[in-house]
Amino acid sequence: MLVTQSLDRRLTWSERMSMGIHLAICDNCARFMRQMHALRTWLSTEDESTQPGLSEESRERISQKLREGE
Amino acid sequence: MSDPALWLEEHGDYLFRYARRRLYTDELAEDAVQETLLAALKAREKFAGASSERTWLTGILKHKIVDTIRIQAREITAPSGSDAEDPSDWEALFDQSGHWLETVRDWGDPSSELEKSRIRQALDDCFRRLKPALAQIFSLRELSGLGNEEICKELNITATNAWVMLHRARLFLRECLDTRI
Repeated sequence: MLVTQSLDRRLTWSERMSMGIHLAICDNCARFMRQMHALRTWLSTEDESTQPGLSEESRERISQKLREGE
Repeated sequence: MSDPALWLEEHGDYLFRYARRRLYTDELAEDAVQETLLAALKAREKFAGASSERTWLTGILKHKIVDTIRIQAREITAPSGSDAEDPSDWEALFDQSGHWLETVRDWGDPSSELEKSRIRQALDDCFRRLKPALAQIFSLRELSGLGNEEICKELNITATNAWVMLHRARLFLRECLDTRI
């Protein structure tokens, strides 16, 4: 599928043309392409606040290792 | 540069979240943070102060994440018979001529911060449901931004194989997210 290949490599001129023509007639494919780009956009934003940080236990384990490593 | 004893305090949560998004279990993320801080401790004379301490530590962590995935990939490459994921599951989305069997929805554009944050959360959940081999390659490509050649080298797979796996990972994430948007 050219749509997903276009996410990982640069398509040739003729591939880009044929993808463009296909997307113009295939609504599902065009929406799929938009979804794939949305995935990439959403993934590229670092949203740190909603995610859990280190647990107390993890912190203690790492701290221990650091003391040993010094 | 602050005292190494303070690194964990000041950057621990940030580094852990960064790692957790790119590795698929909390244990792997914790190990990556630990190795990063240990490596930083050994190399602290080399820290030039050109970047912030956090940027420097994150740079080390990025390498540790790729290392972790490479090592994990070696450990799980042996195909297991109990592998629940049948490729034909995904092919069932298309008819024989490669056309969609279902109507692809328009996801729209999340406008509010709350909505964006909810989607991010859903995406992280879906990522963790990917089978490890797919999560590994997807992480290298989309979350660490490696090119295809590097990915093939790190995971020791062919370009075709890489493409098929990335395609499957994306289809899985699309399906998973589609039920939550």
